[in-house]
Amino acid sequence: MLNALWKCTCLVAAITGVGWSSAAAQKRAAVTVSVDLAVPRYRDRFTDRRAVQAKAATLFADYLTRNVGFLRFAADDSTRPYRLAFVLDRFDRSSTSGFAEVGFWVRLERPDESPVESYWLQFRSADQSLVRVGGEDEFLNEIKTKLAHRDADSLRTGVLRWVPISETGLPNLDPVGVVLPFRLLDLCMKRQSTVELLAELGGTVVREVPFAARVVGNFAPRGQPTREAAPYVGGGFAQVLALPQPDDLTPSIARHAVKIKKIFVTSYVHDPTACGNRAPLAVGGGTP
Amino acid sequence: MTRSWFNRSVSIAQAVALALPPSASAWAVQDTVSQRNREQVLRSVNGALATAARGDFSTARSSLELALASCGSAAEYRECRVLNASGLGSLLQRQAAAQPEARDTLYAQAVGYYDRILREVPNDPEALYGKAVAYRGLGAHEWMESFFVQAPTLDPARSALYLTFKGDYYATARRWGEAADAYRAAIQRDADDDGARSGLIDALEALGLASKAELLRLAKDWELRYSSSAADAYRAVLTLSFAPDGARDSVADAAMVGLVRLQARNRLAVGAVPEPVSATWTPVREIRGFLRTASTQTAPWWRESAERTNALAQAALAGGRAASGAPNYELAERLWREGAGFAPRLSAISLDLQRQLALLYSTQKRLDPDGKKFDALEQDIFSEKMGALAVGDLEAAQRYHTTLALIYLERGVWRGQQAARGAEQQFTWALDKADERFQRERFYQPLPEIRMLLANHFDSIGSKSLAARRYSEAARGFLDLDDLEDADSAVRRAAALGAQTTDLARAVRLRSALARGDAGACGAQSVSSLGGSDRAFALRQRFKVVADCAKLDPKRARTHAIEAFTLVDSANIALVGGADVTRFERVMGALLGPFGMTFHPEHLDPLPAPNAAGAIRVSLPGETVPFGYTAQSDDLVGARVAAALRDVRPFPLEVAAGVVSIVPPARPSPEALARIQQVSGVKTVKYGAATRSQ
Repeated sequence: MLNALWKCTCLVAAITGVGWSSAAAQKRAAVTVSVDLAVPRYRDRFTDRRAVQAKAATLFADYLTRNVGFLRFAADDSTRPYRLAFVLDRFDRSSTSGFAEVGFWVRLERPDESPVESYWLQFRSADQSLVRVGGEDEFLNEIKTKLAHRDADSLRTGVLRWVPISETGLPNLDPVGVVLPFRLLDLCMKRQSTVELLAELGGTVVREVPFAARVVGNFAPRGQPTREAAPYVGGGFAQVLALPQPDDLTPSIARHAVKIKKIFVTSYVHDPTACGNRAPLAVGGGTP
Repeated sequence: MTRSWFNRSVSIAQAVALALPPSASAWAVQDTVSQRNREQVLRSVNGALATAARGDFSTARSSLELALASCGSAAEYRECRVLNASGLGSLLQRQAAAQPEARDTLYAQAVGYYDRILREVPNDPEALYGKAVAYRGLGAHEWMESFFVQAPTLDPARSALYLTFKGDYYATARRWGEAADAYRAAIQRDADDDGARSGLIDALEALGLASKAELLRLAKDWELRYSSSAADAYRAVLTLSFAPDGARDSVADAAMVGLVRLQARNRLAVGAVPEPVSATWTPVREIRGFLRTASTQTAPWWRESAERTNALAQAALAGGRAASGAPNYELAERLWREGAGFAPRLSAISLDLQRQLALLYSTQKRLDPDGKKFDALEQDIFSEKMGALAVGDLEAAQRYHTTLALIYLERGVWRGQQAARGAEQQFTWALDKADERFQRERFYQPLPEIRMLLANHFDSIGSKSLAARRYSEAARGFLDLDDLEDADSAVRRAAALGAQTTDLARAVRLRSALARGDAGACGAQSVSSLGGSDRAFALRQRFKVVADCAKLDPKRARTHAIEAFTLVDSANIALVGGADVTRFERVMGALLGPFGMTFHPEHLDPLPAPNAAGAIRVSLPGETVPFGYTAQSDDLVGARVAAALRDVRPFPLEVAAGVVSIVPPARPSPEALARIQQVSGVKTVKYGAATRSQ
């Protein structure tokens, strides 16, 4: 029986929780995407630089939406606490050479913490530095072409592992783990992905402790789910990989004294079919 | 996707069409009552979906349900029912995404509407897809199996996707053998299906040790085009090799070499391996040690064969790059020097390592304060390799010459004591290599900036004929890249030095007139004036001109679009720059649109691609390899049909897998049908229920 198999994969016997009743209704965390042309040759090329940067940001946001399913991305939306800036700059920022490789650095700005930055996408190698920048359409097409052939692995497990996908989750006792407030399908995530859970353990002294967990399937409780668990039915289940000794987590879950503060994706096994087929086609043909 | 609405067109429309006398052009008028009705229904459905998008699902649903009920049950209102039911299915799925607590109920209701459509139109593509997505949303259940098994045959145009869905269904049920079969079939139909490749790797890994050889073969096949999938497949081999019954055999060795090669090429962390792989395993320990110390003495395993040595050289290149970004220039230098020492002589990787070293010495003077290292590098190259460069890897050689030329240029050395030690000679060699690549690989590179630099240099030292030649070349390059201002400047300077520039000046004038929006320049005489001794250049310019005229000259838009398409499809001209890609896509839209077909834009891939034979060659500025634009074959066939019917009034048709379907009530003449059948790529022409095979 297929259903039985699915339930077996979840291995959930007892459901515990501390009342995040609407957790599963929440949306994936959103990140603002922006583009900054720092190289003077590119910056000065476009009279309406801001418009070009905004269009380029849309290309990056679309790329991320296709390739990183555990977050949502919006171009130039300043209301989000996490901002991912793609900065077109020299690869070697200390070099003053007249011909230098330029490419996109990616910088994650996050609240109350220092930014994370790395060089991500070569745009023009040093030997191609003479080549003209081209008009707006050409520049944007060039970015599009580069993005079409760049995999997102280093972004997913590089800078984006520092953005929490959720600030809630349902602790589970047997096996010890957490139910994510999202279905794996919604995160375009396959089993074997790993997450880091930042859990607050209650007691005489309240502590925040990180745990590594591996996604093993979807949450399907045996029998009727509790009121707390109901919104999480179908959500991804991440089993804690190695419990520290002494194990404070298990008794804390049993006492209903665990609160999930943050969940980060540390290793993402992408499900491209899920990301590419989220919604029905447009009625009557055309683009949805 | 092209809707098959016309197949289901309303009988009133048919009656109107049948009552009309045959038109002179043999086509019945298409703007029928049925079409207007369809538009009205669509407007109403989309209006309801817009209401739902604002969060008011209840109002939207009531509106659609009311509209669906009002369609009645008569056959002629089937389209009304289909569109409204499709709208309801779509709405319920969106609601399910927004209201997870009612998700399963909403998905099930959506499926109900799709089933209702499929009872009337058994292979309606929207309903099939909607049902599949809703089923996936519900999670796999045994009772869905027959649907996922049948779906690939019901919508042949999306068969690869449905095979992937089928694979996903079996994978969820842990029926790995069946899952692997479905994914393999999906990949066979569409090699670009990322999900099928990802699923196949998972399924094979789940099938265990017996799959190692297949995973290795897939990884090698995918290395160039699907590097991420290839890396996943290599990782799966390594994971299996370190499973309890696994063995560190030759397959594991090959996977490790492949993984490092991929990591180096794609700027991933070199030496990173899946968690189960032991860090003390010789290949892992050695590659990590080498990247830390830059000493090959720490990596004897990697020197045991040519393939491993080559991978190690690529790791040296990538490791040096990572080090210079850190920045740790000393380690970068050591890695590149060491790599250049053991890389195969005269190989691309050897030239790339030397290019990086030359750049490093040029930008980090403290590593080479007296310039001796750079001199030695030069000497090594010039004394031993220069002759061999001509027959080696042309891309690497061209990039190497360009880099050296830029270094000399920055130092202000146009001509050194030896000719090779100056920008003039290095730029000249770089251009020679580019020309050679055009001859051998059909990869055209305009490179006007380099040609202009050389021209200015020759001009400044009084070498007028050389300067004139380079200015003319630069003008052609600028025209190819749509930089009309710089083209004009280069033409003027060439003319001032006595070059024959009549053809170039004419091209600049014509292109400039079009750029100003002057449709008068689209006359046959103007267009045919493009000529000259360089036929390939003339054809490229002609493409740009007629493609622009298709936009500017509405009266003859179709004629111009047909000519532009034919230049690409039959004369195989290369598109140059993103602007030409845009032109081509516009031309395709202009050809297909009047026939009711939608163009599906594709992306560019570096050549060679698996289906490179059908790819349109594209030269992109800033790229050192040719790219290919692989338009969907049905779109190309559709455009060829449109071109073949150049003097016929357009009518709705569809092309799927080479089968051209003419949609009633259009009635093409036998002569027009015969023309369609002769179009390259057309397998069959269907008209209504009748099928006429070629």
